[in-house]
Amino acid sequence: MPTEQEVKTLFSKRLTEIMEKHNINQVELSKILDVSESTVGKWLLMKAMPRMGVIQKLADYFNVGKSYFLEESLDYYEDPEVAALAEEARTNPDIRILFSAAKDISKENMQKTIDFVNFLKSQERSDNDFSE
Amino acid sequence: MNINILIAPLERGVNALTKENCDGSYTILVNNNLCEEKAHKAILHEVFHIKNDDFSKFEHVSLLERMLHESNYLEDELEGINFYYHVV
Repeated sequence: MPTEQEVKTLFSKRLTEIMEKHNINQVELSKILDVSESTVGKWLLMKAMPRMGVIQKLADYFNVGKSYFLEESLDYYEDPEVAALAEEARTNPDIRILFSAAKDISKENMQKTIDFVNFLKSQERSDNDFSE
Repeated sequence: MNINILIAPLERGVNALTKENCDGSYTILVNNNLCEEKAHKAILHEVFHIKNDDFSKFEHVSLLERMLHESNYLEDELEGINFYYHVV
């Protein structure tokens, strides 16, 4: 179990990151949540935590789950090797695939899917060569 | 925006995937084993990947997936998208 201070530190880190990402400052956030500016300041300085209802408001506003603010590990895929393969598939310019897959999908099934997409691509290429 | 959807035999555990094409368009492959409701949800998931520009994000895909799975899919986001269905 994380300590109270660890929870506050994680919350502050995640809130800072998401505020930067959405280009929202402390004053704007306090108005959105209908809390005082100093309250938001205390969260960011790891001196206080908001109530669960406010965390839900934050999650709804930024369209993320509450766990984004509360859980250390944010990995979706259970197997780190599957996560690495999915990242390779997303970023490799020769592949460029994003999945809607089960979090416990096997590495073998993900690799077979990538191979299948590559096969379809090679078919497309040969069809184009044929038509030219 | 035009999106081609291919109903295809995908592996177990894969509901759908988005392939970025050389011309900048996208093809979504959907597992032919899914019922209509799950297929619709999987397509929405992929459309959100496209609309969120997840191919270009600096965050790891495992985090992007986590955030997308926990977010709310809004049907309104499908307005203005033309879907063309094909079967492999």
